[in-house]
Amino acid sequence: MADTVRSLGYLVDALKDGGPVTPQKMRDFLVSRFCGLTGLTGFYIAMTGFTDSTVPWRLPAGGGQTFTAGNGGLAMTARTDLAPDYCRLVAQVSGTFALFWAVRAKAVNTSIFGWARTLYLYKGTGEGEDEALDGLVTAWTRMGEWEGETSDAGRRLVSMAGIVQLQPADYVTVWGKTSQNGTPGSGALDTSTTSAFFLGMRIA
Amino acid sequence: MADDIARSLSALQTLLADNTSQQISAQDIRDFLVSALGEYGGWWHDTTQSSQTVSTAAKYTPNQAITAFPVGGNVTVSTTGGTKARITVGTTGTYLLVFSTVVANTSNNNLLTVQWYKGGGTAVSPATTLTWSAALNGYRQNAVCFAVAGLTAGEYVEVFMALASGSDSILLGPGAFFVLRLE
Repeated sequence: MADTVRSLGYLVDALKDGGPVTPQKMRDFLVSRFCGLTGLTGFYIAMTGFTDSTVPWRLPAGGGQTFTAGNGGLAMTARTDLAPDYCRLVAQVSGTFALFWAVRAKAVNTSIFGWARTLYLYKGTGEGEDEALDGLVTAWTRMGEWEGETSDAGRRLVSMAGIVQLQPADYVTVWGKTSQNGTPGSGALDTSTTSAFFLGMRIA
Repeated sequence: MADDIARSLSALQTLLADNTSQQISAQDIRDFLVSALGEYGGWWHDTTQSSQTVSTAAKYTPNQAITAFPVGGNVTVSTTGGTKARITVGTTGTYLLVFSTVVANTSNNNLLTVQWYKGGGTAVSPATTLTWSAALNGYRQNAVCFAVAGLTAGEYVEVFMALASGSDSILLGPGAFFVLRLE
């Protein structure tokens, strides 16, 4: 039997009083503990953002490279049924994950005062879900609240980190939206000629 | 069955030193399990915060709702101590400290430091600093910091912020703060 990444609850039960602690259980414990890192790195994003709040900016598919994958936990997948294609980290096991992402970006079309670009860390469940549904915001950051800066000097690093519990097929991704004082609207986020990373680490 | 306890590495090494006369119990193994599988916890907030006056006295005080991240092991989170985002560890060990937050300032040329503190008064290096020039007046800026710190059981950490001089009105954007025990 192959060594299997197990949940904390499973392992606690497998090692209960009176039960035989087999070598297989200990090997499962071993691979469960050493879950390692998996995720994305080196996104060189050659695109110019999203156009409005109904088509949010997302980590584009293509061009991404993965870190050395751990044995289970998260996998990078591209979703292609919603244009444009985008990348997600999909959970392969139940667990708790720490997530880190950063992207260098700038707001464009900032002549309208008060338009903010907001980047969210989203959690979704399963395939076929509409992007706007089942989105659980676990953390978000904001840029461009007041700026009229549209030159390259207006580019800045935005990032966020968080902890999230996932079941198999749950996914997490980073989306960008535009709003003015909380009201969704149009306005682009320029992430061309820049880079991003998004990684997850299973911690329990 | 007794409660499973997350223990330090040295405590586990003592418990698991020898099994020639079956000293290692199932409870010891379960303690090993919960010790190895993660202690973590923290806070995040996404509600636009009301402005607040910050001076050279360090503090980071979200004045709107904050939400706890999932918590595991012997980590607890609480809103005591005025910072609203205290994280207390229950196991002596080495911890990764992570925060990412967004801050806006209303004036220029002052230096804002955002930093982890432990025990209410001991700064944990490194700090992250932000300034607002004339071209960036009022803009929201992202402050991010990673640190590794040794913490003892019962010790707590918080994120503080302080201006280099004077006082100013600060607006906090969204933020996230958490710890992970590394060993």
